[in-house]
Amino acid sequence: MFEMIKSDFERKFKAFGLRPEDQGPMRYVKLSMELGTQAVVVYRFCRWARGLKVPVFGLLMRILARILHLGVMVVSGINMQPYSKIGRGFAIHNFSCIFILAERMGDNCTVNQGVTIGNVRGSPRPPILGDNVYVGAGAKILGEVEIGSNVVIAANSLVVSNVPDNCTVAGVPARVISRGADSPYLKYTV
Amino acid sequence: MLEKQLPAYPYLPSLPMFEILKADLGRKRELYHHHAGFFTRWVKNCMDPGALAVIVYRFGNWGYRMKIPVVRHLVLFVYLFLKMPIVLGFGIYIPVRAKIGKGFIIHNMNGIFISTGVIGENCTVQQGVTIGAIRPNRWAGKPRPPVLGNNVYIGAGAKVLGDVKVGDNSVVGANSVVMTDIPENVTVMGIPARIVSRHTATERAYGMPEAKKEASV
Repeated sequence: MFEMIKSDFERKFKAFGLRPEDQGPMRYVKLSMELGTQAVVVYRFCRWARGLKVPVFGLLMRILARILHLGVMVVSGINMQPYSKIGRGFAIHNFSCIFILAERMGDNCTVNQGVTIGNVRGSPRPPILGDNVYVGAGAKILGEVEIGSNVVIAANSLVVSNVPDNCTVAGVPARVISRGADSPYLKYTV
Repeated sequence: MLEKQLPAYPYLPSLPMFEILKADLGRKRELYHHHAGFFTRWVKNCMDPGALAVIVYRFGNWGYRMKIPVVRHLVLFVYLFLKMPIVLGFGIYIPVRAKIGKGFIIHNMNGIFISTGVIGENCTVQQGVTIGAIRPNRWAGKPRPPVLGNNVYIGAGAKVLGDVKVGDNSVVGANSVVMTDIPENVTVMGIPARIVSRHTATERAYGMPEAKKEASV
């Protein structure tokens, strides 16, 4: 769990940058004050508690995880289900109206405000995302879809079909608008 | 004047609050938790942010419709405080003047704004949905709210704006913007919304046969 959280912190330092004066230990405090970072940390904790096999301690941790999850949901409006399996270096930028339920997400993904990743009723499984995916503000990824690696999903698009590797998609419903993915967030990996 | 134009959608002012609430929560229970255990079906179902918002709205609406002067003001005063955590904590705004039929479901929370229009029975609203009134003219006139029929499903992040009518059994896809009238039994999607299909997938999606759907609520 702590390795994952460390990678998330590193990714956020690299991708979103810090001012030169924030180089000291104060930068960890500053980063921890962001609601998106807190939500990711709580998600990692929930995920860890979900897999615990120890009988009493595990139950206590799961109850604590539930309470923390509810707190994050009410305060910041970020609902990350511990069911989803997310790789290293996951960053949430901004907050509010974020719902994430994915079958699998690769490393170095970035999610902005207003993003929904989830299954629609009747679909057999939630979406699968590859590595290095940048999901813009307000984008929705719904149903049984598979998204490749190095993909940029533009703001306010609706993805209901599969997306290949190395491309940019936009629109409602989303279409491939470019065969290259060019976003600064894709360059910073851990 | 607007009231005359509205179709006879079943907004039931004579029904007591608890009967409408029972229909709302019952529909939610049947759709989302029909296979779950006792605790989820009867406790968690009512503690969901969307369900809490609907409960508080029904309470405020009941007070708004009440004829007895002093009790009415007391109820609305209590409603003010109940509304606060719903608006600030969950980000769901429903005014008491909204006319919503029974069996209304809010799934998930955040960024939901519903204006004073008419919404039929058995409608479902997801996160980030705006059902907003806009003025016909930029400088004058009252804002006109949309009118939604029965069994309308509005996907995540969709916007229904202005003086439009959405027919019965229609589905508005996620992230679409509806600015024109929509007939019955269609699926619309896109910005601005266009008809993409003449049949709706709600039957399949909800996994309920037609007969059972008719029977519920």
